[in-house]
Formats: sequence, C-alpha cells, structure tokens
Amino acid sequence: MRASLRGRILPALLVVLALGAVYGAGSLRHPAASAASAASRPGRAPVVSALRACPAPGSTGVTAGGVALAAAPGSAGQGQAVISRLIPAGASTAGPAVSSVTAPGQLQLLPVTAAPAVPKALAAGQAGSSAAVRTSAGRGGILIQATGALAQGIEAEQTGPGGLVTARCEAPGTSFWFVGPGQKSAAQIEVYLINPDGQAADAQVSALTDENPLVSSDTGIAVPPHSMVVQSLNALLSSSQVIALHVSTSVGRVSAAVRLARSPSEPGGWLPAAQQPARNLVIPGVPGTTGTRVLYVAVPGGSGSAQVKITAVTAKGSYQPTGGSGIDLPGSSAWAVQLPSLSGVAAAIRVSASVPVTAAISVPGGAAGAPAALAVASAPVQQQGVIADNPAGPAGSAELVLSAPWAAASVRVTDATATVPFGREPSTTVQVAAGHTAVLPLRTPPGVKAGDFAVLVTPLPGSGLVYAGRVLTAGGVTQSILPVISSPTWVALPAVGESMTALGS
Amino acid sequence: MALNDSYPQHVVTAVIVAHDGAAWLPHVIDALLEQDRPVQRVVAVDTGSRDRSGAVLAAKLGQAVVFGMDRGTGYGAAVSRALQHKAASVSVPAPAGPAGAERVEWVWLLHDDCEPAPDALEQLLRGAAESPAAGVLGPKVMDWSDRSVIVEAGVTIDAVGRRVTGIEPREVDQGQHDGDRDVLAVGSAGMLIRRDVWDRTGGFDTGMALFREDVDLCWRVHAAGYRVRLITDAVVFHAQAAARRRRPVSAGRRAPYLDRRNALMTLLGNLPFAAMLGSIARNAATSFFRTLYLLLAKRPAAALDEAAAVAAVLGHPLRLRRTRQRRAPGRRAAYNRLRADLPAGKSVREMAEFAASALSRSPQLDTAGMHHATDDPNDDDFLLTDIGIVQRFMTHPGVLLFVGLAIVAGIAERSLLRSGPLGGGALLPAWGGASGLWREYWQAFHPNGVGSSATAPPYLALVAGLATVLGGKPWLAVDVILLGCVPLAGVTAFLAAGRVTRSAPVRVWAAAAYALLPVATGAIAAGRLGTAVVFVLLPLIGLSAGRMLTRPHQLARRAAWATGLLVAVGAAFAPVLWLMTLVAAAAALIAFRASRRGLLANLAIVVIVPPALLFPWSLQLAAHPSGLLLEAGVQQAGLAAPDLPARSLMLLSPGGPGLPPAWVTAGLALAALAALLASRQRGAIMAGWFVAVLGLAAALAVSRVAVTPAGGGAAVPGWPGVALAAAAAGLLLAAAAGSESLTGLAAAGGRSGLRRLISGRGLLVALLAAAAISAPVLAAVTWISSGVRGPVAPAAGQAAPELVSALPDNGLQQRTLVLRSAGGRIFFLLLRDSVPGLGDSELTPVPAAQRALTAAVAGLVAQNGGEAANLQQELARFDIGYVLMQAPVNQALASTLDGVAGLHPVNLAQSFDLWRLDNPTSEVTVLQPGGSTVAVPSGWVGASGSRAPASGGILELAEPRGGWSATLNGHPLTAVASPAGSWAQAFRLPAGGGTLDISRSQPGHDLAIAAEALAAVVVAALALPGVHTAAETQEAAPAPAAGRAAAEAGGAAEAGTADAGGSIPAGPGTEGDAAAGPADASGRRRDSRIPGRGGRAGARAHGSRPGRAARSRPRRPAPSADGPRVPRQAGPPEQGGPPPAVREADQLAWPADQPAAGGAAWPGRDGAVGAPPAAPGQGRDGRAERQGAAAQRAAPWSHPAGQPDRGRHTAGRPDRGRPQQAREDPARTANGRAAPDGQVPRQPAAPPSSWPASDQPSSWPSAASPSGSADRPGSRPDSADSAGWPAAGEPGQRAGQELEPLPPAGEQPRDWPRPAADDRSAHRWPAPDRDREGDSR
Repeated sequence: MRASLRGRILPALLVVLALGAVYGAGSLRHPAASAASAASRPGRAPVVSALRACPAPGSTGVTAGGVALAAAPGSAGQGQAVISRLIPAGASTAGPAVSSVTAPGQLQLLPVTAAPAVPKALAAGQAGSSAAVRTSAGRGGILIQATGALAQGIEAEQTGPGGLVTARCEAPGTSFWFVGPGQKSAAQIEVYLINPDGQAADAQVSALTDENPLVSSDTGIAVPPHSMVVQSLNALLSSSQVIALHVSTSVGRVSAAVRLARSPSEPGGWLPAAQQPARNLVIPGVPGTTGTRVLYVAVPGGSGSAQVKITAVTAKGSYQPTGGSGIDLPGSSAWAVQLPSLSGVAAAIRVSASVPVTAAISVPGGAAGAPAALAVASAPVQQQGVIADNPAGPAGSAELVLSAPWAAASVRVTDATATVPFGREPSTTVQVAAGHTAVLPLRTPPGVKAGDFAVLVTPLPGSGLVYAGRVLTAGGVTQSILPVISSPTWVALPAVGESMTALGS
Repeated sequence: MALNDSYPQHVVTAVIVAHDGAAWLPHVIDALLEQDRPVQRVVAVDTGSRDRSGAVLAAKLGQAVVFGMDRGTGYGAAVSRALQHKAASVSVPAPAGPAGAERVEWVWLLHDDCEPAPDALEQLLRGAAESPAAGVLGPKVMDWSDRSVIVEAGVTIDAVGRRVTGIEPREVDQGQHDGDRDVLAVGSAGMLIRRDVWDRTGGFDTGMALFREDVDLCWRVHAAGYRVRLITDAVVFHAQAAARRRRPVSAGRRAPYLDRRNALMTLLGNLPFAAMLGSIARNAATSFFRTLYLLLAKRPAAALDEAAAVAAVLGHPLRLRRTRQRRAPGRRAAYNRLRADLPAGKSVREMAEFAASALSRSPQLDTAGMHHATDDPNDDDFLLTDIGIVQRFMTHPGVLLFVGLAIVAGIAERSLLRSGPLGGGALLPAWGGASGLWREYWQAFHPNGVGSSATAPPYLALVAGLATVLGGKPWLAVDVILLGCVPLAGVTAFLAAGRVTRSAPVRVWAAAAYALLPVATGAIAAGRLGTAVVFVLLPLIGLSAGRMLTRPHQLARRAAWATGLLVAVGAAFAPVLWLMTLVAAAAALIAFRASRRGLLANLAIVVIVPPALLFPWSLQLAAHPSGLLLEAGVQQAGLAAPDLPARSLMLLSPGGPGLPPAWVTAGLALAALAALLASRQRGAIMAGWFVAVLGLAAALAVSRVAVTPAGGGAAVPGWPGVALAAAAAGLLLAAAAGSESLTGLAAAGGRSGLRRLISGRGLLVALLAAAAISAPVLAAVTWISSGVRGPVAPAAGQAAPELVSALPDNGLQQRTLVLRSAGGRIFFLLLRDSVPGLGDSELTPVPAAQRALTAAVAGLVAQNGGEAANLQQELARFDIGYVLMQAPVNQALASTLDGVAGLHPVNLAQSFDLWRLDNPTSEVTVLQPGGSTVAVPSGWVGASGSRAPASGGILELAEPRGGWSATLNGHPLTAVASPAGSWAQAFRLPAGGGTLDISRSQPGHDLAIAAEALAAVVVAALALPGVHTAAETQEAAPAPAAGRAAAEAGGAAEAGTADAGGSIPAGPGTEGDAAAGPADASGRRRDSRIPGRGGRAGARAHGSRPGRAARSRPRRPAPSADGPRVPRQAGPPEQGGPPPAVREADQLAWPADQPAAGGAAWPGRDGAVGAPPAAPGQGRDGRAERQGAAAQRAAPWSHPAGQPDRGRHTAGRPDRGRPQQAREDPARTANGRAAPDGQVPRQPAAPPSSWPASDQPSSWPSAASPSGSADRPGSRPDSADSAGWPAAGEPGQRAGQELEPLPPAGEQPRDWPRPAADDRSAHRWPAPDRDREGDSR
C-alpha cells in the first residue's frame, strides 16, 4: 500500500512540477507583442503635381502685375509649370497658357497682362446673387498647374503693378477662413472664388462678425470650372468691426481670396487665409514696428463662450499681454482685442482657447488703400517654406520673423534668384530659443534688382516647430505680412490597412 | 425400379442437375433411389462438374440416364435439355391398378445438393391427387446439416425483389409452417411439376441461368391458370450450396449479380404494366441506396454487381419487352390472384430502424441485409433490451445530455437566435446560399476586393456541405456549428468518456464540464467558428487516436485514417490543431514506439493526411506559417487578450470576450488534481495529465505570439482556445478515470448511507464530487445569466447602401471603397458586388495589387494627397466608383475627401457619407491613343460579347495580372504592361473594334480541387468502418473463441460478402471489441461479453446464411457411414463440452485429405473432402490462399496485432511448412473418401508450445507464452470460456494433456493426414472472387 502510494506520489509531483513550469513561463514578462504593425506604414510620396490659383491681376483696380513663382524641389528632376488665364464663363479645360516654366529651383517673375473685361452677360450676376450680395464673374485670375519637380516646394505669389502688393496664390481646398477688420475700416470686402478643376464647384460663404452672430450667402455659389467668381460682401457686413469669413464648398474645391479696401476705388490689400479653427494657434510674423496691434478672434463654435489665452512670443521670451486668466469671448462671432503692449515688439502671438478658434492680428500700415497689414494664424513650417518674392522696393526692407513657441528651433535660410537656384548661395542658420522669436533681415543677393529673390526656410532636423512670417516694410511702415507656410516636396501618407470590418460590425 | 402402388396413374421423371456436387450427390441419389414411392424415370445432367459428380451419377444411376453439358449451362437449360433426353421419355408400363385413371406425367426436379426424405415423392403425389388443379407442387425444405431447421416452405418475392420465405433464420421446425396450401412459388429443389405444364410454360427461363427462375416459373404457372401448392409433409433437405456460395457459381455471371438481375426480371416481367412502373421506381431507388451503402462499406464489387444488375435489366428495354411479351398471357389475372402474396418491401422500415439504431448507438435489431459496426462497444447500456426505438433513443444519457446542453445553450444564446446570418468578432456573416459558398470554394479567382487568386479555405467547402444539407442556408450551418457547439461537444465528449469510464453519471459530468468550458462560451461570443468546430471534434479525435493506439493492427490503421480525417476537418477551421497533432504524434512515437507495430505508419498517416487533404490550401499555409496559429475568420484586435495572465491559462480561460469568471472551472482542475492520487486507471490518468500539460504549454505558446495574418493587417495575439480545449480534455480524462477510485474510496468505508458520508473518507469523496460537479453547473449558470457577451450579433444591418452594391444597367461595374477610421488608423475595404461574407477574410488579395491599392488609399486619405498622385485616376484604375464612410464619420477624413479633385460628395445620409467619382469607372476600359478612356461593359469577372471601340489602344483591366485572356472577334490579344502598374492586366487592342471577350481560367486550380475531393473520398472510405474481414475477426478474437464466435456470427455476413464455405466475417460487435487492445486488458465485464454479443446479434439477424448451417451440423449425426467421424476425445480439448458451435467449427475445419483451403470450407460430410488440422474455428475460412491457408489456420491467430495479413505473409513463419509436410505424408491415402473414417487422429488445433517463440513477433500471443495468456488481449477468454473452452495459448497445458503436441516444423507428424496428391480441390473450389476482393481490402 505504501509502495503504491509512493508510486502515485512521484508522478503527481512531476505533474505539479510541469504545471508550475508552465505557470512560471506564463508569468514571465515577455516582450510586448509587436505593436500593431500596419499593413502600410506611414510613408511619404513625392509631390508630383500642384495647383495654385490667384485672382489678380485683373481684379478691380489691379489690372496689371504678375506672378512670382519659385519651386524648391527635393531632388533634381524635370518639371513644368503652366500659367494660364481663367475663363470667365468656365470651361472643362484650363484657359490659354500665358507662360510656361520648366526650370525648378529658381525664382520666376512672370508679368501677366491685364485680363480682358468680362462679357456683360456674365458680369450681370448669377446664381447666389441677391441685391445685397452680388456675385459675378471675375475679371482676370490665373491658374498655375505645376508638375514634376516644379510642383515640389512650389510657391507662387501674385504681384501688383507697383511691386508691393503681394498675396499668395492658394492651393485649392474645401474650406478657407479669413479673419480681419470689418466694414467699419474696410468698406470694400470681396471674396474671390477660383475653381481650378475641370468640374463645377459649389461654394458657400458665411461670415462671423461682432454684430450679427452669423450671416451667409443663402444659396451656394456655383463656380464654373477653371473660372473665378467674385462676391461682394459689402452690404452683408455693414457696420461690423471684425469679420471672419468661412468659404467652404459642398461640391468640388476652390481657391479663395479676400480683398479688403478702404473704399471701392482703392486697390486695397489681400487678406491671407488663416488657419482652420483650432484650440491652439500661432500668428507669426508680427513685426517690430510701432503701433497698436489688434487681435481678431473668430469663435465659430455655436454655443457658449471661448476662454482664450493669449501669449506673445517675443525675442525676449513669452508673456501674456492680457494677463494669465485670459479673456472670454462669446461663440458664433468674431471679436477684436487690443494688444497695446505689443507695439514695437516683433513677436508671434500664441492663442489657446477652450474651443476651436481662428485669429489674425492687424498692424498699422498695409498696401495702398488697405485698412491695415494683417498677420494671420498659420501652421508651422513643415519640410520647408518658400517665399517667392520679396518686393520691398528700393526704400523698403524685408525681414523674416521666426518664432519657436514650444521648443528651440534651428532654421536654415537660403535664397535663390532668377538665375541662381536654391542651394547655390550661402545659407544662414538661425537658432531660435524655445518661446522666443528671432528676426532675420532678408538682404537682396548681389547682382539682382532689389527684392527679386526667393527665400527658402528649412527647419533643420531635430528642430522644434517653427512659425515664420515675412514682413515687407517701406519707409518704416509695414506693407504686408505673409505667413510662411509649408511648401512640401512630399506628402505624408498615413497608415492604412484593409479591414473586413470596415463596413462596421 | 420397383413400382409400388401409390398413385400409379402418375409417371414421375426425376431430373437431377449436378454441378460440382459430388459431395452431396451420393446421398441425393441414394435418397432418390430409396423413395417409398419410386420415380419411374431418372435423367441426370452433369453441367461440366470439375469434381467427380459425373462419375458418381454414372456409377449410381447408370450411364444411360446421365449426360453431360457445358459448364456454363444454367439450371433451367439443363432441365429442359434433360427432359429431351431419351431417358426422360422411356415408356412406362401402364399401371396395374384400376384402369381409366388418366396418366399424368410429372417432372421432379432435384438439385445435386437436395436430399428428399424417403416419403417426399409420395407426399407430393398425394398432394397432386388431392388438388388436381395444381401444376406445381413443392416440398418443405429443411436444412441439410441441421435437419431440425426449416429453410423454406414456399417462396415469394417482395416488392424490391428479395426472396421471402417467411422463415426466421435458424428457425427450428416444430410444425409451425405445416399445412398444405397454395403459394406463389416453391423452390426448384424438390419441385414437382406437371410435364404438360412445364411444356406449356416453357420451363425455366433459360436466360436467368440461376436464382429466381423458380419464382418466375411458378408465377408463369399461375398465369397459365394452374395452382402452385406447398405440400409440407414432403420434405427435402437442401444444402443450398449455390445460394450460400458454398460453391462458386460458374453458370454465367457472379451470384449477387445474377440474384439481383433475375429478381428484377421476375418482378418486371410478371407484373402488369402499372405495377411494373412502380416496381421500377422502387427498385431503382433501393438499388441506388444499396449501391451507395455498399460503396460506403467498401464493397465495390458488390456495389458494382448491384448497379450492373439494374443496368442490365433497365438498360435493355427491348429485352425486357420480349420477356414481358412472353409472359403476357394471363399475367393480369395471375397478378390479381397473387397480389396478396406479394409482400411489400420492408426497406423503408428497415432503413428507419437502421438509422435509429445508428443514432442511439445501440445494437442493431433485425436488420437483414445490413450490418454495421457498432464501433464503440462501451455504449451498449441497453444491450438487447427490447424496448421501443424512441424510448431507447430518448432515455440514452447521451441524448439527455444533448437535450440539456441544448436548452442551456439556447437560453444563453437567446440574443443570437434569429433567422439570418450572424456576424461580428471573427465571424463574417454567411450571406447568400450554399451555392455561393460552393462557388467561392471552387473558383480559382475570387472577385473580392482587388481580386484574389488565393485558394479558398477548405472550411468553406465543409460549411457549404453542411449548408447544403440544411437546405442551402449557410447561416444555418454557421448557427449549427457556432451556437450548437456546446451540445454537440457534449455528445462527442460523452462518447469519448465512454472509453475511460462506464459510469453514466461520470460520463455525463465529464461531457457537460467539457461542453461548458470557457473556451466554448468564448468561441461563441467572439464568433470563432474554427474553435467551435475543433471543440466538437476534439473528443472524437481523442477517441479515434485512442483506438489507433490500442486496437489491433488493421483496426488501428483504420482508426489512423479516421484520426487523420478528423484532424483534417478540424485543421481546415483551425490549423493550429494540426500543429498540436504533430507534437502529440511525436510524443506518442516516443512513448509507444517499442510496443506498437505499425505505429510509425499510423502516426505518419495522422500527420500527413490533413495537409494532403487540404492540399492547395496547406501549401498556402506553408508559405505563411504564422497562419498555423490562426483560425477561420477575421483576425482583429480585441478578440484575444494580448497578455493573458498565467493563472487564466491554468484555469482554462482563454481570454477575450464572453468568458465566465475564471474560477468556475476551478472544481474541474481540483478533480483532475485529485485524480493524480487515484490508484486505478493510472494509465488513463497519467495520459490525461500528459495531454493537459502539453495543451497548457501549447496554450501558453500560442497566447504569447503575435501573428500577422497572411492577408496583411495588424498583428493579433494568438487565441489559445484550441490548445486549452485539448488541455481541458486531458484534465477531464484524468478526472473521469480517477472517478473509479473515488467510488472505490467511498466504498472502502464499508458503511453505508449517512454514516459513510460523515466518515472522513466519505466527506472527502463528497467534497471532491461537489467540487467537480460545481464546474459545469457554475459555468451553465453564469452563461445563462450573462448571455453571450461579445461582438457576435445578428448581422442584418451590416450592408452597403443599395445604390453602391447594384450593378448598373449599363454593365459598367463600379466598386466601392469603404473607409473607416478607428483607433487613429484608417481602414479600408474594397467592395465589389457584395459585402464581405464567410471565407472572404481568408481570400488573401493578390499582394501586388493590394499594395497598389493600399498606396492609393493612403494617398486618398492623406492631406494634399492629390499633389502626390492623380487620385481620380488611381481610383479609376481600381474601378472604384464610390467612396463610402459609415457613420460615425471622421470629419477630418471627410473634409480631406471633399478636397480630392474628381471626388464629389453625394447623398450625405445620416448613416453614411458617400462620394462618387466624377468620371464613371468600369472594370474594363480602353485607353485610346489620344489619351482618353472608354469604358467597356463587363460582368463581375471578365466580359463576354462587349463592343470594343474602333480606335483600339490599350485594354485595361482593373484586375490583378495573371490568368486572364482576352479575344477580339475570336483572336487572342497580346498582354502588355498596364498603365496602371505592374499589378494590373492589360492587353493591346488593335484598332477596328469588334466583339471583346475577357475571361480568366486556371486549369491547375481545378485539377487541384478535384484531386482534393478525390483524396477526401478515399480517406473517408479508408476511415469509415467497413465490412469486417475475416482477418480482422481473426485478429480480434482468440483462436478458439473465434471458432465459436465465428460460428455464431457467421450468419452475420451478408450473403454478398460471405466467403466460400461460410468463412466468417465478424459480426457487428465482434470487431476487435474483442477490442481488447493491450491497454484494455483488464478483462472487464463489458469486454468479455462483446464477441458473444456480436455473434449472437449477427447470427440472429442473418442466420439463414452460411454460418448457420455450419453451426448446426454437429448436432446431426452424419448419416453416412463413411463420414469422417471425429473422435470425441480428439476434438477440441474441452472438458465441459464446448458449445455446439465450437464443435461444429472444428469439424468443419477437420480435414480429410485436403490441406488446401478451399476444402476447408466444405463440411466434408462424406469425408470426400476436408481440411487439414486447423485451429478450431479457423478452418472454415476458405478465403486464404490455398497453400498458406492451412498453415495459417493452424497458427494461433489470437493476437490481433501480431497477425500478419493472411497467407501471403506467412512465408517466413515456422508453421509454414506444415501443410506441405502433411501433404507428403505417405501414411495418408490420396483421397479422403478412402481414408479410414474416424481414424483421423485429432491433432491439437493450436500450435504447441514447442514452437520457436523467438520467431514470433514480440507481440505474438499466448501460443508463444502460454503462461502469460491470461493477460494477453488476444487470448482473453470470452464468454465461450465459461463453457470450458480453453484459451488458445494453452494447448501445451490443456490440449496437450490429451493430445500429442504438434511436432515442430521439420518433423513429420506421425498421423498427419495425407493430402490429395493432385490437390484437386484447389481447382474444384477456387476461392470465389469475393475472397480475393476481400484480400485486397
């Protein structure tokens, strides 16, 4: 009996040992199962084509001018950019080419003559027009279709006849925000909608002001293919101090631009497109000129108010001009906030809000007939940013205001001219401490006409986010502020994977 | 030929047709000549006998009345010819009696194996006198050998052509069938027919050759207006040699074929037209099922006979018409008269009984014509209890368990019990019908997503098969598998538990505990079809593997095929099963390599069959071995715990959704641990724990691996469900095996009732039992209360908007790209005509195309992706016409899509956002030289008859390259590089236009699928239990027992399979359930009674067949003085007197002079033939080769595993030489007839212990080691032993006491019978085809 019991105990012990071994092995920490490896890893694809469109020359009061175009391709290669005129009545193919560019890396200054007048039938107005909001075919407007190397890092700006009025030629999109002074200071407010595609687009313009919570053009604005439509918002925005315009499309896409002028007869200036509403914004490029800065904040969110905190990122560091507690702004409207303490301080304004907002800041000055020079909220410079032209004029100057609100940044700045492509000239590396702003004067390279050079801003690897604005000054007065945006040479592709349950389960 | 006075007006001509009947003929002729009322004339025909029949006839009857005919002559033709012989018309002097009585000529037909009783003719004539309208009179037919047994008293034919005698098998005649009466027919043996009637009807239909001609003739006699009377006082004794295959049928085709064909001819020829049509339908259906059954039973020759017989009759309508024309007169009247005598077919009832028996797994009742292995001997708790089928079925604990589990599952799965497909988790809904699934399985190219040329997973075929059975509803098949897995697993576990314990409560407990494991509830909740299937199959696999390891060789081989098949089925759903099988096989090889013959081959079968059966798919798995750890269905995160704690594993909780609290299984683990200390069934307990530890280790390994599915996607942690199910099965095996000790422990207290309970041991037992019982109870309760908590749900709402999924009228197919943003990642799905369904997740898309699509989608959803690519063109190249996002819509993604040139939002509904491409796309486009594209209408795959544009250009297909062919106006187009990239297919389209056909073919794939199907059929055939061959019987039963069992079970073999001379296929239960694998050698009650039971059942059912005659023979003293009377004391060395069957078997085996085997089949009543000394019971096996047979028979084939397959394997064995030696023994006379009767000394049947044991296989049974015989399975006494029958292995001890031991090979036995010098019997009685067929099986 005892022997047989022993005979049983031994195997039992063995089993328990084996169990213990399994348990122990199971309790060991093992390297975590390789984290979700995607079927497609995040990747990048080179930019192979780009569309840019701008309303001038040809718009009211600006009948001459040209386009400054610079592309900073990531690698050598062939490319072409075709500049063609928009067709007032619309057409499925782009209008006649006015010029064509094949040399990437250089600055191209292309004069474009005034566009012919719009036929009467089209000028009379169209769908979406009303007595208050008149929509008509626009005169002029150009479309830039770039492919290959010329599409990589492309930047195009329209230049006015005097050389000083510049505005960016925008890439098409479905949503644009513009924030600026209202009709009290800008009697003439016009929205230019350009459809760069071969199919008609259907756009809507809605406005936030400090007066009325929300106004919009009632019906969609049909934008024929390859054409431009102009909508005057004068009547709509009467007696507003601040406006925030949201241009969106329900079908197709457009490039939008907004022109502000103190009076209908003046050429005025172009309002750069602001960043899409977000909780955290940076308005780069506030120059160090004197004068009151007014911050315009649009709170598109419907109900409730936004708790907004404002931080100025200056050369001496960051501070909060409105105090640490911030300000409360009601929703569904746009508001102006005076920031007197910023006079004479080159800075970037960081806005953080409890709800998504977008913002701009006005600096006294601006183009002829424009209410002010406006800096708008803008995204950081990713990959690289290009400024196509710096038409400061003989008496003026151009400077780059670089801000690193979050982490120290280092930026390489180089330039190109009509003959010397990017990379040949010696570059400047600028270090910006975290929470600081640096101002880099842009000097015209030797051998070219004043201002006729393009600038390439490249954040160096490891750099923190850097925001930049180019400021043109003439005679101590700020002429225009252009936020430097990314001119990518490649597109970041997100990770995607097939899933049988994509339909939902 | 002295006349006596009775019935002088009758003139009787006896006709004897002899065909290889020398064995019986002397008796027949003697009996004829000694009739009380002699016949006036005798004519005898010898139809080319190869024995001495002709000589016997001539010697006994005189040359004048004997003539010969061709060997191929049929009975009918022989009789007709005989009646034309001059001896048949010898004038007979007028009777001396009163004149005026009209003389009546009669023909008395006698077979060479039918011996009339002395007064037979007299009685027949009396009947004729009493019934003047009778044209035919027939005697009562009794068995030749057991003359108390009635064989026939009138014959009729049932609706499906079977010959019906109304006599029970082996029915002893006690006068119960007596009484003269009109019958449909009488047998031709002893038939007395009026000569004028004979002439008028034309006698037997010579076209029939043999079988049924008697029924046909009598039917025609009826039609002619005469009566057919049975005179029961007239008796003939009939050996029915031909019908029982005692001798081969040389008259034309083989017996079963003839039998069936003639039956059909008889029916179809004699029935009126309408009845004939019904009969055709009935017989065609019957034959179809019979053929099917015979095929399944691996009797292809019999199946061929069956089919050929039907074809022979129905395939020659003209012949049938002629046959009918001949029978036209009086047919209708005869039918009206005979209608009542025509029994309806019993097939339907028998089928139902058979099915019910198979379901309840209880022994067959009287199922003549079918016998089926009850392959689990342990399930017969109601052995032979004669209760109703329904009651028997419904009170089966297994059935009760099934019902109970089904109720539990039904309540718990209340949220899922809907009509319509289930989906979610790993399960894709099974939309559509079974045909769709079949198509998906069969297709080489699957139009899913970008297109897939992957081999469809084989489980699709299995589900499709089940769906077909279930009325073409795949969702129902999925429901049955997934929702039914708990009750089904309960049943399979119940069956498997029967291997370890006989206790029904323990079996029910183990089965319920298994079925309600967390693995099952988890698999259901997560929609894991694969685990559900494996979960159900696992107990069966264990059962089958256990058989493989414990059964005798041939049965083990069959079990190996079955195991391989089961594993293949399971691995089709969850390939990890195959991996585990591989490991287990390796372990088994190490553990048992020394002890089991053929183990390596069996294990190889088990391991190789699954990949072979799943062939094209297994190749795919080999390319992506990580898929071995996955299972059927969608692999997605959240279905398995990424870091399963070890304690969960220990408690059999696999992680993932839908699990009960881990502690519910604690009782189970406790019970298994307690079993470790049990004293009995140690082997089973340790085996169980071995499996459990192996399973736990496998579960650990699986759960710690992150697997990336072959089709791409995120890596998912493995789900250890299958491995844990195996571990649980092991634990349950241990626990169930340990339960016997538990009861023993309880009983050890010696007290009873409450006292026992409160004693220390009793309390322990009660606690253990309570803990064990808690596992299934808690599992059921928690499952019922929580329901199924998991992603699986009715999938009714999961569909794409209708406008997307419809093929437009213009034939321009457009696909839909579905986007979904989840967890910071964007997922896509390319839809063609349908939403994803069962099996689609395994259809790996063509990699190059999928990469291209992934890149295109990435560009589509990227910010400014349009700058990196022409998205519109990219989408068009994949024929994407729509982009869809189901709610909740990711607004950022939506606005990105809004900004894509050429993509327009349409119909923004609440539940989804939809974008449409501006330019309509199509599967087939032509890129014209100018750069513009033209859409070409197409079907879902390829195009046929489309118009090609006249401009020509590049024909682009939005399909992966490879396998496509296109023709323009019938001329093939050349493939060119596609503008879409290397993944796509394109052709150069010449200008001019025309009709365009595009198709895809992959003949290699079709071949592979066909080969797979064929392999599946072959393996299934090898695995299915079939007819048991004599070899199995021999292997399974100890030699002496085999004699008895064989005798009893002899009848079990259907006539079609019976071997010449009534060799002995095993009765149903006999299949080595005598089973008796070594591991099972405990000699428990159930084992010991099995063979007897099987034999009884078989004999009862089929007793009319050969074995019965054999059995009864010894009861009847040999009537002839020269029969080889076996001295009693020389018989089998029984003391208490063996059962009659045993004696009989011995006698049968008893030789006179013919060591050649054919003779062994023959009882040798007159000593003319016989077999050499042979092991009791083996001698009747006429199937073995003649040379080796005797040797084999003499060998103690008592050990199954050690048994080589018959004579051909015996060459090297020491006993091989014995028959030859015997044959040369000069002491014996050449002919058994001359051998001194009764002088043949009885040799010990079993080999003596002096045989060189070393030459035997290690597992050679008791013969080599008599002392160990009691433990040897092969020699374990069965019920026969109670009668004093010794084990085979004890001849040296018991048999040897009386008998001289057989001398070792090489020495001449002193009294060895001399074999026939010319070994004529080998020619005379060639082993029938059936035997050779049996050998080849």
